[in-house]
Amino acid sequence: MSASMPWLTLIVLSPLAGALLLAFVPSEHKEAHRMVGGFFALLSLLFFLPVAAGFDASQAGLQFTSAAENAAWIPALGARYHLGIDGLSLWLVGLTTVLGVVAAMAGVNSIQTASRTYYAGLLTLLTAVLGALCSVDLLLFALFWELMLLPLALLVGSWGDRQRVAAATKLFVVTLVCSMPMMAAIFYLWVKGGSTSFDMADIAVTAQGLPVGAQQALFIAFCLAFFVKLPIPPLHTWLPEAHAQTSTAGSFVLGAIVFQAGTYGLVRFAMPLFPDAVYWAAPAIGILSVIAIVYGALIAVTQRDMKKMIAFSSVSHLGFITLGLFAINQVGVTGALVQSLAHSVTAGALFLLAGVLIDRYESRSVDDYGGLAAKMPVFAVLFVFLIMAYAGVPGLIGFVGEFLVLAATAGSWAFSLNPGNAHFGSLPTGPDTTALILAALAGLRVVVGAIYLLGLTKRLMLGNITGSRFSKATDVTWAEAAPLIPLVLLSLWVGLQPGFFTSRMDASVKGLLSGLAEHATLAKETANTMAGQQSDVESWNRDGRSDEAWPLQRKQAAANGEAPAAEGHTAQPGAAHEGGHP
Amino acid sequence: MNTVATGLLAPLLLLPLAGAALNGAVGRFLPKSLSAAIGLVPIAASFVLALVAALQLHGLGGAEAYGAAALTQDIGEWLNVGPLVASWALHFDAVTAVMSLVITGVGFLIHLYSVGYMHDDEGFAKYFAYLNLFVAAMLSLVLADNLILLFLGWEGVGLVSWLLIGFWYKDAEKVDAANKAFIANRVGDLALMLGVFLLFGLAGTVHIGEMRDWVAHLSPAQITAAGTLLTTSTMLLFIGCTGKSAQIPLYVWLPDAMAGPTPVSALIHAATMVTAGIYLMVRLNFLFVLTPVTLGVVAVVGLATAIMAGTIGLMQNDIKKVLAYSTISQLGFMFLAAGVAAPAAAMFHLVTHAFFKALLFLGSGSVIHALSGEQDIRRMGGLGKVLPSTSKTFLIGCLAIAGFPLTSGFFSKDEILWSILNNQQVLGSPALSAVLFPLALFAAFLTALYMFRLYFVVFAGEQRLTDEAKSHLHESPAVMTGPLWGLAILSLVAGFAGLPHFTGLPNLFHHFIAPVIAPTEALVRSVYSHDSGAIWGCVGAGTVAGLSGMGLAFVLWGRGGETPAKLAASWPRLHALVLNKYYIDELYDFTFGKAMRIKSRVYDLFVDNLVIDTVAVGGAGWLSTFSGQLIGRLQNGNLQRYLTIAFIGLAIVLFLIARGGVTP
Repeated sequence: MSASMPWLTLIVLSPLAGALLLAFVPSEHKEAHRMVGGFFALLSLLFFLPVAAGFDASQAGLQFTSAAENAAWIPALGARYHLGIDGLSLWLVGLTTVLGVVAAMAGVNSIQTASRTYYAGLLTLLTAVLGALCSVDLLLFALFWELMLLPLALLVGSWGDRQRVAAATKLFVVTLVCSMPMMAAIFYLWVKGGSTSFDMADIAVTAQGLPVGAQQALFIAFCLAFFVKLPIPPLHTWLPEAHAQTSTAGSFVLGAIVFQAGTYGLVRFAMPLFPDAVYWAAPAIGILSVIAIVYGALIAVTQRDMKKMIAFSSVSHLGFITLGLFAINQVGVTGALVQSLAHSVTAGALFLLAGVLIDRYESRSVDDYGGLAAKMPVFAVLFVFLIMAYAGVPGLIGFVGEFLVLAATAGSWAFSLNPGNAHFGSLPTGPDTTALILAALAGLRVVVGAIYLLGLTKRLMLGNITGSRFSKATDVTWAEAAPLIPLVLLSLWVGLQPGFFTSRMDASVKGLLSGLAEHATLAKETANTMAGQQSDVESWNRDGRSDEAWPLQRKQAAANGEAPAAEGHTAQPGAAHEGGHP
Repeated sequence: MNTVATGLLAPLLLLPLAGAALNGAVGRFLPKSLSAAIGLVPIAASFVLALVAALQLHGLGGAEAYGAAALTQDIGEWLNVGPLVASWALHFDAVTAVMSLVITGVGFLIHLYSVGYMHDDEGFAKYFAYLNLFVAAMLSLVLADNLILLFLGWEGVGLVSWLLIGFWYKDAEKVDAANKAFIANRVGDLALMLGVFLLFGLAGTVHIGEMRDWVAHLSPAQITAAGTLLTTSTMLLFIGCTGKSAQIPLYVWLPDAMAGPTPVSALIHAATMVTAGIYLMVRLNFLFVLTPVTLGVVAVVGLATAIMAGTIGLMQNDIKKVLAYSTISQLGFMFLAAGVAAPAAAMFHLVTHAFFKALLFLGSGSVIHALSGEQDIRRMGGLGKVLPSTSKTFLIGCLAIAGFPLTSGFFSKDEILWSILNNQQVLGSPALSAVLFPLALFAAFLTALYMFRLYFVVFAGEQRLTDEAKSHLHESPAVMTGPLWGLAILSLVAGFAGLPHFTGLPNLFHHFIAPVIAPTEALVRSVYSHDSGAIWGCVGAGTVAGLSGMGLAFVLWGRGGETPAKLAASWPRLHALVLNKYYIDELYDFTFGKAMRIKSRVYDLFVDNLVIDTVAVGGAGWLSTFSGQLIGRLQNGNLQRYLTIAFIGLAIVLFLIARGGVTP
């Protein structure tokens, strides 16, 4: 669908316009900076509304690409200014625009010095993230991707504790170094394709024409860049330090906005470009994700620094995104995208909540607090509500992503360590043991998360009031509470009506999965070979149909809109059964 | 099954939620009487709606299939991703009817009682908001037509339980108790969730009705083929139940949960939330009946819990803790019933227990209220005369739980005992039932023993009160004794709804819920025994066990004297073991507390800081120091220089990769 208005360009560039405008506002006019920052962030959100309203949920492909948004950009290289949005990116973009407004509100309370720098940095960062989330051309994506780094380092390094510059440097270097291989891979693909185009569709043809070994190497290069943003151990060490050292607003930007680009990079580029590598790497990535989930949660338990606790918890929470994506089924990919939204909303909220206390009492140590609920009842309600949303209580946002990902993991074949249990379903052997173990281990976060989140609640909010400085504590001010309100509403909305969001993802998710299944030639061959060998397995025979194999898989294959299972299989389970016992 | 759409169910669920929202939002600005009204009216209205729905359900079934129908209401879409579909959809059948009547009926009496009990508390409105929220969560658990919505209620009651146990949050110990409850519940929730995933993988649905149809169409060969998976999933579901319903190994949270206000214990930790596990087993009896191994485990765990908790209850000196262990023990009885494929008996005991245990908890609350907060039974005694209503109703509760003939507990407990013998073929091994039966009798004996110990020590003998308690000694107001009498009457008469079959009189309760438990009944009926001699013997044995427990309690504690102390002194080790609750709490503290913290510390300090950060990232660390100044300048915003460096780096890496041969 091509729209007459270049809505995406407006969404992407309006923050940048605000940043440019700020250059002309004198540096001492704090109020003016806030107005400009808030206004242009809001403008971006307003431009998103017609996109959300006009989005065609039945369409798998890219939408809202106006004539001006698929035009030559650097003709000499073949690079194009090509933007588009689909079910995979729709809500990532939408939420980023909301979070932009929230970050602008958070700045009011958190940023008291050099507010012009903050708002200029924030607006530039928003343009970079939104640009990356809308880019279809890989060079354009790479440009926006690299553009994120600078304002981010600025936002993290400019306000906060003494070690903030060191933390920002670490962030900058680690991220930069890890994204270099992706840049190289992009150029490599460009050269291989005849140096004519960076467009996703053309690059995909090139990539899938490469031998499997090359696909795997290039896939790793892409993943490195994205995994450092969704910090998968051991690429996570920049995160806790950065959060601990930076300001509340810096933490919010870092914890809630930036990683979305990592999610997007995986679903838009890394996965569809290299289908065979995706199936090849899925078990390893599944295991890495579960390590992230369990390891992050366990470390969070003993943190006394509340921001570090939330940061390690984030490592754990973000592991669900990669776990869901590489379960390679509809529930998993949808769950991962919802988890991406959920993490932004809830972890962002927790950083803001911690920030309220840190900005007031200048201590990040949980041991310095206690019993605040008695003095700050409204704050306590917000705190408990958002903690519960983060802990994944059903009916709130955190549950949806976590539950879908766990369900998808338990029923996934992609994590199987036995190559025979390849990825096209219909093998009537019941669930895969590796997948079940991964689901059970990832599920430990449900328990361990409760331990440290309730522990945090207790130490900050409950028990006796400790220390005289809290005896006169007052409840949250409007300035402190305002940024939390959209997050509370989103927690409820997504939690109670996830269908509203997931129904708009469905077509694109199915498109992604059928594309993967179609182009994963090697994985398909393996599946066929092994399926022929697994013959003497009792088949399920509900409704008298012999293809009633593993119902989940069958339904998914049907839901994918085509039948790779039926085509890919040399033998139907029923037939295989007969073949096994002639 | 005859299903009819109705508009009754959503208001039934949403009214308490509205009450909670209203009291939560503006309650603290309102006078207490108004807050109380906002809390009470929705529960009463829900009770009426549940009653109307139950009558409608009764009307639908007709004479033949009494209750063989369900009311449904589809509110809207919730989760709908590929094959995973779970709507906001409510389902009201006979078991739901029983559960929602208990939840709202007993719930209403407890709300009413709370008006008196909590009258002087500053968090009065907040308390009623939580209580209503709890009722809403519990109703969504029993009304859910799919397992994910059920899970919402399941976690929801856990959450509200956390709020209520930690209601007096300024006391750090109470907060610890609340956290412990939530975390132990979450261990169970995780298992439940995994069980649901496995079932979803097998059946391709999370809708309970569809799952039941799926089971109905499985051939015996398929059931055999899926045996391990089905057993694993029902085992996981059962582990989930041990969390919510406080069974071995996850029962440890319930005694601590007594930190909350006493009416909360009556509502949540006796009558409703803790019965969720039983409800789940009854609701999914069509699955459990396919997996005799799980049923065997359920029966053994249930009975082991009943005996273990009974022995601990015998040694406790806190009036509420005795009742807490008693609850664990009685829940064990219910699981025993579910495990011997007698879901009707489990359900029936659930209902009678809801009456008499709520009564006992509220009675203990009345005692605590009268004694200005005293909970130690060693500083009570002789209260029968000063608290006439409380002591009489408490006695009725004790008689009912001990299974005194013709009280409600008599009928429900005997049905369980009888089921152990009758269903022995279902258990797979008759030997198992030969072991279970005498032990179950012993547990029944223990129940009578510890309950009457409690009764005699608290209400009989001489007063051992502290001076402070003496000064305010008073019977509770009518708003508290009224609910006590209401529950006392129910405890006395409820048993007649479930008269034993062999008497030839109608077992209304069993008949009502029969359609829901038909899959289990079908299996049991094939081995049904009509040996009335055995049944009479069984009833007789159960009665003797109860009466002898009461008798022994009278001998030991009813007349004062030193016998209990002497007994304790003659077996010091056994006494210490039971007194310290078999040291299970210490074991858990070590595993979940210390050991996990140590692991976490090791990961943090050694793995994360040393190995990853110092060695791995530090390998690139020289780069940080090297480029530190460089970056420092970059941060001033020199975009040009940054881009130059980025592209130089890019070029180098590109060159290396191109030469190094990504080209295969």
